[in-house]
Amino acid sequence: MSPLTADFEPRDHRVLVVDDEPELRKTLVLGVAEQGYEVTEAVDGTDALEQIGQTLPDLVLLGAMMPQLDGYDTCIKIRLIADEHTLPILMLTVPDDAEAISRGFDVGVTDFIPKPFNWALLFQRIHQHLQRVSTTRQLVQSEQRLNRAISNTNDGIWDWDLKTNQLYLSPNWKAMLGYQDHEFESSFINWQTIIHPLDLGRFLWNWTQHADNNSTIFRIDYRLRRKQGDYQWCACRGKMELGDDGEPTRMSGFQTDISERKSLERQLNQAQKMQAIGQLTGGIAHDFNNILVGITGFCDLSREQVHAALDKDPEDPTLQDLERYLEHIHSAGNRAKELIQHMLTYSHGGDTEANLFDLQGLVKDILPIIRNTLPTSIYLHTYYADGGSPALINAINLQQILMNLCVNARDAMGGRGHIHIRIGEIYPEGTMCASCHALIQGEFVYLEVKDEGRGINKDIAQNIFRPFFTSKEIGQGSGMGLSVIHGIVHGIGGHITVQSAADVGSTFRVLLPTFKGDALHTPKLPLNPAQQKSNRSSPAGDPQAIGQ
Amino acid sequence: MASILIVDDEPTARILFKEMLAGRSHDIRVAENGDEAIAACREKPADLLITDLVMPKKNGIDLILELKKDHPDIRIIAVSGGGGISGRFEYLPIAKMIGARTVLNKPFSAQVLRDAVDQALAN
Repeated sequence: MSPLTADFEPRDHRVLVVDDEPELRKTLVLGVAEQGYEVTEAVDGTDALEQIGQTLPDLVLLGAMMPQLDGYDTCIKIRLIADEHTLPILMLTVPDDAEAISRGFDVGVTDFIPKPFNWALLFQRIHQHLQRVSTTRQLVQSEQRLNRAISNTNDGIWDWDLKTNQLYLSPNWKAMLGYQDHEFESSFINWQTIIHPLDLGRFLWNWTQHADNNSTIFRIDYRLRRKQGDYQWCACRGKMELGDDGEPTRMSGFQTDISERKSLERQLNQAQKMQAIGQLTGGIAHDFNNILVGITGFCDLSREQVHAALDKDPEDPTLQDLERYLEHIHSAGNRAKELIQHMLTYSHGGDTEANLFDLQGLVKDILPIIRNTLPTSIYLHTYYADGGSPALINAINLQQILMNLCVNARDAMGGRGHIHIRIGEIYPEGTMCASCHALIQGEFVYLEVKDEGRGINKDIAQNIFRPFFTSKEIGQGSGMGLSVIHGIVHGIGGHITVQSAADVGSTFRVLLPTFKGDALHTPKLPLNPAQQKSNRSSPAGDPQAIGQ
Repeated sequence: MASILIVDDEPTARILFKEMLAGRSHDIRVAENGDEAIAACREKPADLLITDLVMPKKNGIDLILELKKDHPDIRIIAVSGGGGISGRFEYLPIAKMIGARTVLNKPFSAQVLRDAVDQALAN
C-alpha cells in the first residue's frame, strides 16, 4: 500500500502483471520495473486472484485472453475484493475491438492498453491511474477523519447547494432535535418552519446580511422546535462559497447543541436577578424605615399629649376624635414596620444569632403554635429521622419558616387537607437551589413541608421567592412569606428546593447547614438519651397526627 | 443635667429624638453628620451620644471609633434603620462590638428611647 504523501513516488506503488504468455509478461515486468515501480507477476487469472487475496497491489495490468479464467472473469472476481476507486485494472487488448472494450468496462476494467504497446502511453496511463487512486484515498481518509471529528463533537452539519437548491442535513443535525434521519426532510423551507417564531426574523436577517456581505461568518444562536414539540437552543455557524464568477454557489456550516450553556446562562441571570432584588429591597426598606421613624415617632408623641389632655378633660369630643385617629395611624405604622422587617429579613437574612440546635426538638416545640393557627380541617403529620439532627437555626426563625410554609400549604389546599412535615438528612450535591439558583454544596439537614394542594404553576415557579410576588387574591397575601424564608435560610448558608406537580401538591425542602465532627468549632447540642429514644419511637414513614 | 448629642442625617429624626427627650432637663445638641459631631464634642464634651449609623460623609461606626479615642468614657446609643455593608453585615451588631451600650432598631417608641437614655446615664 502506498503511503499518502503529496509527492508521487513510483517505488511506493506495486503493479501486478497478469498474463499467461511468459515472454509478454517478462517484457512488461522489466519495463514497468525500470520506471521505479515495485512489480509482481501472476501466470494466470487464478494465480492473480490468489495473490490479490493475500495483499492488494496498487494497480493490475491484466491480459484479456487467458486459458480457463480469462481477463474478463478474473476482473469480475477482483472487483469482489476491491472497487475501481481503490484498485485500477488496465486491460491489454487489441486496438479498436469495440466489443471487447465495451465488455471490459461492464465487468469493471478501468482502462485499456492497446497491443502492441506504446511504452510511453503505457507508463503515462499507469502513472495517471495510480495518482488518481492516491488522491482518492487521501480524500476518503480526510472525509473519514472529518466525519469522526464531527460525530465526536455531536455537531450537525448542513450543506446547501445554491445552484440545485439541494440542502443536506447530516443525521446528527436531525438527531439533535430528536429526529431519525428519514423523519425530517432536508429542505430550507422545512428548516425555517421549525425555527422559533421569535428567532425566525433574526435568523433570516443574519442570513441575508451574510449573503450580501460574505466577508463575515454567518452565526446565530436560536431555538429550533424538537420532534417532541419543545424548543432547543442551537448555535448555527456557516459560510457562503462563491464561484469563479463571483456568484454564490453553496453555503455550509455546523450546528451545535447549546442548551446546556443557555441553561447555565439562565441560572446565572436568575441568581444575579435575585441578588439585585435583594439589594433593591434592602435599600428601599432602609429609606422607607427612615421616613416611618418620623411618622410613628411623632404619632407616638401626639398620642402621649392627647392621653395627657384626656386625663384632664375626658369628655372633650375633639380630643376623643384625635385619639381615635392617632390609634389608626399607630396601627398602620405597626403594619408598615412589620412589612419593612420582612423586607430586611429577605435582603439581610434573619436573626444572626443562629446556633446549632436539635432541629427535631425545635420543631416539636413549635408545632403546637402552628397547630393553633391552622383550621381543624387541616391535618398535620410529622415524620422524624432516626437520631438527632443538629441544624444551624434559632427558634424564632424556624417558627417563621414553618409557619409561612404551612400557611401557604393551607391556602394551596383551600383550607382543607393533609400537611406532611418531615425532617431528614440529605446530601444533595449538584442540585440547584430553587431560590438563589446556585449549585447546592455541603452538608445539610432538611425540614420538608409537603401539601396535597393544586401545585405551583410552571410559569410562575421562577418568581415565587421574589418579594411582593403572590399568586393569592389581592389582600390575601403580602407576597413576603417565601421571601422571608429565602432571607433567613440564605443568611445562614442554607438552601431551598421545591418540587411541585399540578393537582398533586408541592414539597418545599428547607436545607439547613449541619456540621459533622469538629470541622467547625460550633458546640453540638447534647441530646439526652430520653430524647433520642422518643425520636426513634416515631420513625420515618409512621405518620403521627398532631392535635387531631 | 447631662449633655446629650444627637447625630442623624435625617432632619425629621433629629427633631423627633430631641422632642422625645424634651422636658427632662438635659442639655441636648444635634449634629447632621460625623464631622459636625466631632467638632461639637471638641467644643464641649458630651455625656451621651445618640447616633445613626448609616450617614453620608462619616458614618456612625467611624464616628464612634474616632470619638472613643478622645472621649473614652462617652456613653453611646446607636440607632439604625437596618442598613449594612454590602447588604450582608448589619451595622448594629458592629456598633455593639465597638462600644455602643444600647442599639435600637428604627422605628422605636418615645418610651424605648427614654428608657435607653436613663439606663445609659445611670451606669
